[in-house]
Amino acid sequence: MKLQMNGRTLEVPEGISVEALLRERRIDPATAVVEHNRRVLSADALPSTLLAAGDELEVVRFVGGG
Amino acid sequence: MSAVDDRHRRQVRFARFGAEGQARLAAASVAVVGCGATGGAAAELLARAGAGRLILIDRDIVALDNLHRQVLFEESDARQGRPKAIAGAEYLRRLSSGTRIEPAATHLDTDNIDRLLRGTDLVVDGTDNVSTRFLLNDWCFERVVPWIYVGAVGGEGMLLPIVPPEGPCLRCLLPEPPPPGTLATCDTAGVLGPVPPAMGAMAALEAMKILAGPLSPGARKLRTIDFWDWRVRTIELPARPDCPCCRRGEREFLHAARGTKVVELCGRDTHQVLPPGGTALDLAELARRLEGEGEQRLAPRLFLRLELDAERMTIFPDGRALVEGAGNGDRARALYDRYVGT
Repeated sequence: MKLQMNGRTLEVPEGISVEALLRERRIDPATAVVEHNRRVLSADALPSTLLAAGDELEVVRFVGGG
Repeated sequence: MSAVDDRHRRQVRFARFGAEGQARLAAASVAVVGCGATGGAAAELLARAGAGRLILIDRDIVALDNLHRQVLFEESDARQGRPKAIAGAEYLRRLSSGTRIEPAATHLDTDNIDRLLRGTDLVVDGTDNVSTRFLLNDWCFERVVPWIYVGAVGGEGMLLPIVPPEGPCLRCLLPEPPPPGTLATCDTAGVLGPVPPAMGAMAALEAMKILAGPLSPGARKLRTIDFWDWRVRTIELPARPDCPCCRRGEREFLHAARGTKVVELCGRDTHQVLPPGGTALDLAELARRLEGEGEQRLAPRLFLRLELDAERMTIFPDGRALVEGAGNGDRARALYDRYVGT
């Protein structure tokens, strides 16, 4: 199925969880903020939130430098 | 109009800031912690804008590869390896004699933070590491002082004005300091010159807005900008209901020593840098990320040695590092944060 992540279309397996998608893309969930259909997900909701076709994800990774 | 008023008249003419905002800024003390690329730009703009007092804190010295993005310094500062706080203070005094500039060329830690930030109305984060930010977050909630978290690396930046006593705070964004080596740093991922100063300019602007008051509805929101692809996002980050800092009032990083520790090993200009416990570093991965940064010698599972221009760093899988030739603990810590990243 197709969904939007950070403005780009992405093909992902049906019913994949947010956490699994992050891990697949080598993003550490502990250093990321995830907006799912414009709502921020809490850290404990990442494994139980399953994605559907057409969903919009914004994944923001903590930026450390300065 | 006096000469000082004359200088700021274009800014005062902007009605939402106005003479009242200018007067508040002139009466304010702002601490800029870290005077590199983000902090340096913020400090310069706050001095030009007419901040009354600026405290500049930085533990590092100016290097040639700072100059493409760190606007307070010139080639002679890099040649002489001058402390950033001192070089920055001199430059700022030349451009804004009305601002009291107080440099401190030291590492901000639990022992000196009360003294160094005394009387501060607002803190701008110009640091390049997470442990100092966790300390700032705790201190600012303890003393109810607003602070502005800013980060910049590669082609992107992030900003969150944090205004105690209400959250969200840094730990709503990043609950625990990530293990050393997990976050990209300007040395591992690179950084485009204009990116951190752009973020620093936004931090200076947010500082002016918070000091002028009243608090705008836009404060306390997380802003992220991907400058390369022009993705600009605003995220309403909720305060975490179980946040140890802004909800439960714990001050682990201010009171207990959870930060990175540096000790001098006797008699041979070597410092040991020890991050908080429980770290497991993938040395082969770190070696890949640091490709081109000095000479490397990798003994996987044992150590990674990095020969830099004047220093040598040996990094172990538990996150511990020995830094030889750094001259002092602050420099050793700065090198560790730069190459391993905390």
